This record gives sequence, structure tokens and C-alpha cells, in this order.
Amino acid sequence: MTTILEFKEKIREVYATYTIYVDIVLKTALTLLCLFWIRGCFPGGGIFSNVFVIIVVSLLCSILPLRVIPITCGAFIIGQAFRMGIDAGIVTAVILIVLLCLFLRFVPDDSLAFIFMPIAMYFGLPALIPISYGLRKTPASFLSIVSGCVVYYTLESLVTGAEALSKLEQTEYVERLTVLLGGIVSDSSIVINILALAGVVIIVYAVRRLGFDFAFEAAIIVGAAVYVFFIRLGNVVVQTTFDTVSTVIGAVAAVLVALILNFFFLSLDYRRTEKVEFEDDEYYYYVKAIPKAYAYKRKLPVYQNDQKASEIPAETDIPQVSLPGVEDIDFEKKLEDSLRVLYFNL
Amino acid sequence: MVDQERVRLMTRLARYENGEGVEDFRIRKYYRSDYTALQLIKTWILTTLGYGLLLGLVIAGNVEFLLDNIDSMNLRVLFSWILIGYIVLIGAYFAAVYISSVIRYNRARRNVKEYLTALERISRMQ
Repeated sequence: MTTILEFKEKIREVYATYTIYVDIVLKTALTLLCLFWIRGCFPGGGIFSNVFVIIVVSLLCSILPLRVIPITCGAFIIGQAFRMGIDAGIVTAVILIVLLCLFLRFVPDDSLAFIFMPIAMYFGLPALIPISYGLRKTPASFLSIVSGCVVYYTLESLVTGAEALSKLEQTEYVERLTVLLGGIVSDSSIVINILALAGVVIIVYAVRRLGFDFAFEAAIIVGAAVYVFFIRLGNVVVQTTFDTVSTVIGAVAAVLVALILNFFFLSLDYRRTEKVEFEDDEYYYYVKAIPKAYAYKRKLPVYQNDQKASEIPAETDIPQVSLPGVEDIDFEKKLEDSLRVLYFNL
Repeated sequence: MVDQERVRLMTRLARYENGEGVEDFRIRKYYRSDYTALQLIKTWILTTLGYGLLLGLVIAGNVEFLLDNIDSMNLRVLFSWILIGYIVLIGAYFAAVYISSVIRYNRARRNVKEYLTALERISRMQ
């Protein structure tokens, strides 16, 4: 445990020293991950799949604010959709505008979930993002998580309908629209997933604020359990076809990843919890302070087993200061005189 | 001689000016009623646009069904439901935006007040 804490301290130290460079590298890596994931969703060429374009855009995003990354990803998704047909592009653009008008504009700081959520869903870890946002943000962040969920289903609809769209003529508007939107509008699994994700954010936030020991860890586990419960409920009540085994495996994996993330962002030492009570003119205070876990390195001199005491270097010795005439002073007598003067003056 | 306390205070204020302060100063240009009204107008426009586009998507997704059954549909009931949905959505958004904009305005006012107090303290240090 101490080794991991030391490793964490080391990372923190490196980040504190090279904040600017680390931020740039992380933003570039994040944008590359998102854009390559989008590229992987849409097979085929095109300017939005060009590796050189992706790298240049990622480098640009590295020096721009974090909010630009989801906007860039949205633009790439629309661009890829337009390659499948004008109608596909327009439908995707309209869906993203609706999400922006109704949800995302209220939570601009949480807009990264808009692109993290579909990636997490793609890798089978849908519970990870709502758990992480519930731990670190407010329940309002469910708006961006829900937007990300809608984006995932839109992409899924585009990808699965790509073959059917390619067989249809460009003038067969009604059939094309039915292929594009039928999957989203008539699919009840999207509603169940949205409800489950929103529920997870709210429950994780509520549990971690309860303030008992290991509340954060408990919130992670409860969040994953709530997600599995909602999905199972959907399967039973509205006959959705979520695979229970993969949902449970995904939830367990999400718990593990969330615990690791929680350790690196906020690890608390509950053994040293202090409870303090005090009052002022207006209030009586109950304060519970939990210190963060740190690895304190003690720098002790290392000696060899066969080293004699006389051979140990005197680096820890107290330096001897010799002032002229100090030996002749009787400090005891001087102290007694001072006390006597004080006593008679009082 | 550099006054460390003064430098510390000025750094804190500079960080505020470039961070949270940008939004706070923008908000403090308005009276509270004006700011809230502006937020509500923006919400009305964007929510109406969002609702209209959402409705368009739902219609486009079910266009085949609608074309087949439009003769047998009671259009008055259908439009009533669309209108009720719009009113409920707008009402919910207005309530949420009103509350959040009042909270945000009060927070901005408090932050700017603290900022001005700190500025005064710096000027007294000279």
C-alpha cells in the first residue's frame, strides 16, 4: 500500500513540476483516443478518417480549452455521417443540436461525458462514467451522460444501418429515414439505459455525501448494483434484450476501474479521522475531518552491519559552537538573579 | 522591499480575474431581474428549437406509419398532446433556469464583493 501511495506521490510531484507539458500531452492523447474511436466506428476512407488530419486536430485541441474536445468529436461524427449520405448527416446533426439545446448547454463543464459515455458503452463499461461523475461532480452531470448515451445509440444505428442505406437509392427518403431513426425512436433499451445511468449518478452522489467511513467506496459498489438492477428491471418489465452476464461483468469491471480512479483522485485515511465539536455566537459545530492518505518518506541514514560506531560519518552530529568566554558564565546564578528582580518588581 | 502578503493577495485576485471572475463580472453587469429574464428568453428560444427538432425527428422516424394512418388519426388530440408536451417541457426548464440563475447571480455578487474588498485592502497596503 505504501509503495502505491509513494507512486501516487511521485505522479503528483511530476505533474506539479511539469503541469503545462503534462496537460498538453494528456489533452492530445484524449483527443487521439476519441477521434480514433470515431474513425473505428465508421469503416472506409474520407478526410475525417485521415490519420494526418486526426493528429493535426489532436495537436490543436491540446492547446485549446478542454471543452473544445467534445465539440471536435461532434464535428467528426457529423462529418463521418455525411459521408454515408446527406440524410444521415442531417439526422446526426439534428440529434446533436437537440442534445445541445436541451441538455448540454446547462452543463458545459461536464461536456466531456458526451464523448466518454459512448466510448465506455462501446467497451462494455457503461456504469463507469456515471459512477465517476457521481463521485466527483453534481447530479446535474447526468444531462451530459444522457447525451453521451444518445450519441452511442445514434452511432450504433448509423453503423448497423450502413449496409441497408447503401442498398437504398438517395431518393427513397422515407425508407432511409426509417432505417436511420427507426432503431432509435422505437428502441426501448435506450430509455432503460438513460433511466439507469441517471439513477446511478444520483444514487452515487447521494451515498458518497452520507459521510460514513468508506462512503466513496460504498457509493461505487451501490452505483454498479443500481445499474445492474435497472437493466434487469428493464428486461423483465419492458422486455429489453440486455445480456445479464455481460452487464454484470461490465459493472464489476466498472467498479474496479472506479476504485482505482478514486484511489488516485481521493484516497482517505479513515484510521486518523478526527471528530471536533465547538461553538461560536451563532452555531454549534460538529466537524468530522478525514485526512488524505499520504506516503511519508523518512530519510534515515543507512549503515552497514559490520560498520563500527566510530566509522559512522558524523553527519548527524550537532555542530559544536565555541564562543569566547562562554565557559566562565554561571547561567544558574544569572537565572536566579533575574527571577529575584522579577519577583520584587511585581 | 517586496511585500509578500500583498503579492499573495494580488496573485489570488489575478487568478480569480482570469478564472471564475470572467463569468462573475459578466453577470454583475446586469440587474438581477434583467439577468434572470435574459436567461429565461434564451431558454425559451433554445428549448423551442430543441423541442421542434425533436418532434421533427420523431415524425421522421415514424413517417411511414404516419403516412399510412394519417386519415384515421384524430389530429386535434394529437396536436393537443404535442402542445401539452411543449408546455410541460417549457415549464420545467423555466423553473430550473430561474432557480439556477438566481443562485448564480447571488454567488457572482458575493464573489465580486469579496474581490472589491480585497482590492481595497491592497490599495491600503501601499
